[in-house]
Amino acid sequence: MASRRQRPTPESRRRFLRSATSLVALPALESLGFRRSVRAADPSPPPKRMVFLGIGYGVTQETWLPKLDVVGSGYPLPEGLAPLARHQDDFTLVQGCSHRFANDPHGGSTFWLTGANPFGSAGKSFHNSISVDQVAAAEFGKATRFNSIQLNGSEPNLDGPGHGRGLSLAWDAGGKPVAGYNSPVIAFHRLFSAEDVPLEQRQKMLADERSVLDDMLEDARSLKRGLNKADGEKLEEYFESLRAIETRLAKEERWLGSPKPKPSLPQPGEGLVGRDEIRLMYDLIVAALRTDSTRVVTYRQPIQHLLTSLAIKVAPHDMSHYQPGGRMEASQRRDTVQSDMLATLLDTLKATKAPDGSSLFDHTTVVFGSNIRSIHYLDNCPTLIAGRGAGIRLGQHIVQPKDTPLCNVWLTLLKGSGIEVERFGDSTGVVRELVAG
Amino acid sequence: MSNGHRRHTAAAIIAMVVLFTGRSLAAGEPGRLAPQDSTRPLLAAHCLKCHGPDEASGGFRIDTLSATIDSVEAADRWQKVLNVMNSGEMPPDDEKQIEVAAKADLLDDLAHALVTARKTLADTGGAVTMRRLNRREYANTLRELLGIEVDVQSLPSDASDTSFDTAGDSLFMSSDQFQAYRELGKSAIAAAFAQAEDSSPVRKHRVEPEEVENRTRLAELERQVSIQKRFRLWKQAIDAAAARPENQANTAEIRARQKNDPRGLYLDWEKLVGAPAPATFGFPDADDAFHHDGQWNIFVPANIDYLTRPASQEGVFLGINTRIMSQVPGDWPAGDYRVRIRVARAGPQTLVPSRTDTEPFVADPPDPSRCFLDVLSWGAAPDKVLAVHQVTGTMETPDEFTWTMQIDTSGGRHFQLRERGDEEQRPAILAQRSGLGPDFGINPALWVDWIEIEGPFHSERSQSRRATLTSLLAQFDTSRLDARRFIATFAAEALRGREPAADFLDRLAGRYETLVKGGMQPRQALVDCLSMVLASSSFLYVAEPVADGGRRRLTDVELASRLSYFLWSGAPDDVVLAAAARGDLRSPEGLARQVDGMLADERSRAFVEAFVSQWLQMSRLDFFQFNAKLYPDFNGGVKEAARQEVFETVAHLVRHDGSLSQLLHSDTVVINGLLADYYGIDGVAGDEFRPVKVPPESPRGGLLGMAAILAMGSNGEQTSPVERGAWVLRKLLHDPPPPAPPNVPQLTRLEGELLTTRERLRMHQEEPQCGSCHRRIDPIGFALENFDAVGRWRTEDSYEKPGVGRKTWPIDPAGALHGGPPFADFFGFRAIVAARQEDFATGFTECLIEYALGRPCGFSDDELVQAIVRRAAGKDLSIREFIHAVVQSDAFRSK
Repeated sequence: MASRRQRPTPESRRRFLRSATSLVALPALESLGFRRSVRAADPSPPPKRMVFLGIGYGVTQETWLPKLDVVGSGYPLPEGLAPLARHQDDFTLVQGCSHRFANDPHGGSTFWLTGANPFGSAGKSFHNSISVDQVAAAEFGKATRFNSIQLNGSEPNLDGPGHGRGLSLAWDAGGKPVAGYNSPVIAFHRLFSAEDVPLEQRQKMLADERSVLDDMLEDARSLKRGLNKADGEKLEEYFESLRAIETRLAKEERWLGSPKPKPSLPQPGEGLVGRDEIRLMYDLIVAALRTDSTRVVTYRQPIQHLLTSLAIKVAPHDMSHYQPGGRMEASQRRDTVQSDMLATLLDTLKATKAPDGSSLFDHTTVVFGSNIRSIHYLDNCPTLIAGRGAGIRLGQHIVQPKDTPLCNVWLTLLKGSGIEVERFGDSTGVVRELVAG
Repeated sequence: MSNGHRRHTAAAIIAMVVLFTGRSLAAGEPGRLAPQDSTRPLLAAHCLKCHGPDEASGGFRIDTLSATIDSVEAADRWQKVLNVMNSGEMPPDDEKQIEVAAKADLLDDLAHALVTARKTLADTGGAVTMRRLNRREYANTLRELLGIEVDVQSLPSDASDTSFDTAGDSLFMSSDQFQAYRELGKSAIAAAFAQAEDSSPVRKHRVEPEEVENRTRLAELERQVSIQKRFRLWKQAIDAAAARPENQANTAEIRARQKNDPRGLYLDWEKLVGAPAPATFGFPDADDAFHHDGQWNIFVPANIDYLTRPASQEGVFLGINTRIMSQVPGDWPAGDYRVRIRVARAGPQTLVPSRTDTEPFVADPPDPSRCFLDVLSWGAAPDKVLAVHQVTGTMETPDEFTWTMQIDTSGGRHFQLRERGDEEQRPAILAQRSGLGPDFGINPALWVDWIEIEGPFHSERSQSRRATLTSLLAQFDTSRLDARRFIATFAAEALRGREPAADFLDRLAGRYETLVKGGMQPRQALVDCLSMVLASSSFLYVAEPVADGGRRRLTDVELASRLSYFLWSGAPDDVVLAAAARGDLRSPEGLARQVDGMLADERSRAFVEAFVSQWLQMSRLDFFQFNAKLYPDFNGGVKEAARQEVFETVAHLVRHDGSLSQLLHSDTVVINGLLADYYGIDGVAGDEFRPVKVPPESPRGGLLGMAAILAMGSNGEQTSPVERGAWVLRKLLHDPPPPAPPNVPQLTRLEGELLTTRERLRMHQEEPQCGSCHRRIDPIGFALENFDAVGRWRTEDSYEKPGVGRKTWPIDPAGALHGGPPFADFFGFRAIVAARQEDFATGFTECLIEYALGRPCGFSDDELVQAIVRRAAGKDLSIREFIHAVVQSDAFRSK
C-alpha cells in the first residue's frame, strides 16, 4: 500500500513531478520495448506484466469448476474449460476464495480487484479502495509510455449489463474510478496511432497543455477558499484529475521523440461487438505488452453484446440465474466461447518470442475470472491464473479453505511479480500453494 | 401495518434500546440499532453452544456481539451472522435446525435491522456535498448559455441503480473527463460563434422522395429483367447442348442421378459437351443463377406493381419493408429544424401477384392500427424512435405532420421514415398482415407526398443568454478587442452569478495574448480561452462555501441555482437571477411564486423526466429486447410512448395541481392515439397526450395499469412476478425488501417439471432463506399476473418447456399481502394499494429530497419527511405541494 506521506499540495506536487521528470533519462530510441529488456546483454531482469480479464456475472459452476476432491496437477478438466485443454499445464485454478465484504450479488465487478468494504466509510453510502492492477501500475508504469491500460466493453449502458459502479475494473489510490477505453478503435489509436505533428510543435503543445493546467488550478484554488472539509475533498477529485494529466504530460514529454511502436495488428474497423470485440481486445492486449507500451492491463468485458453476437436471446441477468434448460445452455455456451478466446490469447502470448527464446507468456500474469461464482453466489470466486510472470505454480487445481480472502491471491501475484507489499485489501497472507518451489 | 416494515422494525429497535439503556432516542440522534428482542434468545438457543464462551468455534462468539449495530465493524459482524444462516451453513446440518417460520422471521428481522444500520451509518446528517454538474445538467446549461445542443456521449452518464444522478458523492471526475469538457466546450463555442455570425435567413428545402425511390426501383427492375433474360438465354443454350447427340448418354445419366430435378441438367452443365458456363451470361456459378431467378419471381412483379400505381409518381408508399431516408443538408448550421411531412393513409390497393396463374387481389384499406408513421434516427448506433405520428388524412387530404429535429455539435442529421414496426418484427408482421403469402408483397399502409425541412430556429428559451452572447460577439473586432473584458463578460454569464476569480481572468487574458502572438487566429484563440471557462471547476461544480461544521442560509444567488438545477436541471435564467437579486426568494410567497413560474416553464420537463425515471427505476425498460415474435405490437414507438405516458401523467398532475394518489389509482389516463390503440381505448386520435376518462372496471388508471411499469417487470418474454412484487414494495408501499442476499442455495427440486408460475415460485416458501422475503414479494407479483410481459390484459398464461411439453392455465390473481388484507383479483389488490397513500407519499418524499438536495435521505431527515408529507396531506397530497414543501424547507435553503 502507499506509504502515509503527507499529501503534497498541488503546487509542490507539480514541482515534484517536473523535477522528477527532468531527472529521468530518456530511453534510447532503438531500445524500446520488449525486445530490449530481454536482450542478453541487458543486465536488468525482464519486466513483469499483469493482465486482469473480468467477465462479470460468474460462470456455470456445474461445468466450469473442477470437482473439489481432485487437487494438484492432472485433475479432470471440466467441460466449460475444455477449449483450454492444450494449456492445462500452464494455468492454475484457485477455489475457495472470496471477498469478506461481498454482500451484494447485484453489485457487479466493482470490488473484484479491490476487496473493499462498500460501507467502509461512515457517513458515506459508498466506499472503494485501490485495485490490485493499480498497485502494480504504480511500480511497473514507471518504465512505460502508459502506466496502465483500462479496456471496457463497448456496451453503452454499463449499469444494465451488470458490471456495477465504476468506469473500468481499475480504482485509484483514493478509491475513485479510473476511466477506460470503451472500444478497440479508441484503444488502438491511443496506443499506436503515430503522431503526425513535428517534434518541436509537439513540445509546444505539451507546454501549452501545462499552462492550461496552471490556469485551471488558479480557478480551482480560488474556488477552494471557503469550502468546508467535505466539499474540499470533493474538489480534490478535480485537482486529482489535473494531476493525472500532469503525470501523463510528464510521461509524454519523456517519450517525446520516441515514435509510438508499430502494432502487430492492423487498425481495427468500427462496429465490432461481442465476440469479435473481445478477440480484438485480446490482440490489442498482446500488442500493447509486446511493444512494452504498458505492463498492466485490465479488461471489463461486454456481456450483453457477447450473448447477442452468439445469437443467444437470453438476457445476461437471466443467463446468470440459470436453471437447466435454455438459460443454462446459454451460460455454458458463453463459458465455452470465453475459454476458447482465452486459449487463443494464451497461444499468442506463448508464440510471442524474444531473441533469447523466452516468450511473453514467461513474463506475464493473466488473471481471468469474476467475483461472482454463479447466480447469487459470492463465495468461491472463479479464478484462473496463467503465465509465468509471477512465478506461481502452474497446472494446479488449488482448493483453499472456505472464506480465504481473494486478496490473498492478489497479494501473492503482486509479491511474485516483484512488488514489495505486505498486504493488499483484506489479505491475511499469501497463498502458499501458489508459490513455486 | 401502517408505515411499512422498516418503521415497524425501527420502533421495535427503539423499544429495545430503551430496555437496554433505560433511555429513549432523541429524534435526529443517529439511531442505535439491534435485532428484535425475539431474535436473541433464538440465536442463543441455536448458536451459543459452539459460538459462546466455551468453544468460540471459528473465533466467532455470538454472545459478545454488540447489542446495537452502531459501527461499521458491528454491522460487518452481524452481517456475517445473517450470511451464514442465509447460505445454510449455520446451524450445521447435524445440529438442531430452527423451525421454518421462526427462521424466516429471524432472517427477515436481521436483514431489516442491517439495512437500517447501514443507512444510519451512511447518514450524512443532512450535509449537502458540493457536486459537479451531471451529464444532463451540463448539456442543459450549455444549451441555455450558448443555444447549442452538445453531444455529450463522451461524458460518463452519471446514472446509477443506487442513487440519483444528482448525488454529489457519486459524481466523480477523471482526467479523461476533463479533456472531454475541454473538447465539448471548444466545439460548442465554435458552433455558437458560427451561429451568431450566420446572418443568412432561415432556409427551406423540400424533398420529393419519389424521385429517389422510383429511380431506385426502376434500376432494380431493369436489373432483374436483364437477369431473367440472361438466365433464360443460358438455359436455352444448355438445352441446345443437351440435345446434341454426343451428350445423349450424359443427359440420361444426369437425369437419373438428379431424379428428374428440373434444375439438375443446368446445375451439372459442366458434364455436357459444348454447354456454355454461367459466367458467359454474367453469373458466377449455376447456384447463383438459380438464386437470382428466385429473387426475380418476387421483385419484378412487386416493382411493376409499385411503379404502375398512379400515386407512386406523386409520392412514396411506405409498407413495413420500405423506408425513406432523408437528412438536414450537411452544410446547414447546427440548430433546431422543423421537419414537415405530408403523409396520408394509403387507399385500398390492388395487389399484383407474382405468379401469372393468380388473379390480382384488391386488398382492404389498411388497418388503422398500422397507420402510424415512425421517424427514426439513422446513423452508427441502432435506430432509435424519434417521433411517431398517427396518420388520419386520406390521399386526397393528407396530414401535415411537423416535428423538430435538433442538430447538435456531433453533426448527426439523418433520419428515416417507415410504417410503424420494428426490423426484427418484419417476419412476424408479414405473416400476420399479408395473410396471402409472400407472393403478394406488402400492402402499404402509408403514402408520403413530400418532406420539407426548414431552419435553423433557436428555441425561445435560450434567447436571453444568446442575446448576450450575440452582442458580445458583435464586439468581436480583432484590432480593438479587449480580451479580458470579453472573457470576463462571458465568464460572468457562464458562472450562474458567481464572480469569476480575477486571477483566473488575468491568466486567460494572458493566454489569449500568447496564443495570438504564437500565430493563432484571434477567433480561434478566443474559442480556446472561453472553452477553459467551461472546463473550470467554478463552472463544473455547484459550490456553496461554508466553514467546517457550520451551517448557513444560502445566498439569493445560490438559492437561484439550487432551484433551477432542481426544477430545470439547468442554470437559472435572467428572470430567476433577477428575482434573486430583488430579494424575492427571501419570502415564502416570493419563493412559491418563483417555483410556480418555473414549473409552468417547459424546462421543468427535465425535472419530471429525470426524477420520475430514476425514482421509479425505469432504466430497466431498456435492459432487454422485447421478443418481437411474441409481442409484435410492442414495437419501439409503443415502448417510447409507454415510457412517455408515465412522464406525461406526472406532468399533467403537476400542471393541474393533481394528487399524488392518482398514481395509485385514477379514473383518468393520460395517453395519445398510439397508446389508445395499444390499450384498446376508443375515441382517441392524435399524437398529443391528453387526459382520457376510463370506466371503473378498466385495469388502466394509475401506475399499476401502465404498460411501461408492467413491461419493466418482465424479461422481454415472460412476466417476472418477483421483479414486479419487489418494485411495488419498494416504490408504492414504502416497504422495500432488503437487498437480495448472497450465497442462498439455489432451489433445484422441481427442475425439469412443467409448472405454472405459482407452482414454480411456491418453492420459495419452503426454504426460510427465501421465504423471509418472498412471502412478502410473491403474492404481489401474482396479483399482477393478469398483465403479460408487455402490459396487455390476459386471463390465461402458458409455458412451454422444449422436450417436455406445454402447459396452459387460467390466471389466479387472488392472494393476500403478507400479514395483511386478502384480495380476490387485481382490482381488489389495486384498492388495497390505493389505500396506502401515506406510505406511498413517504417514499416519494424521501426520493424527492434525495433528488433535490443531491444527498441520501437518512433517518436524520425523518422529521423533515414527516413535515413535508403532513403539509401535502393538507392539500390532498398535491404533487405541487410536495415540491413547494421541499423548496420551503430549511434543508433546501441552507448549506
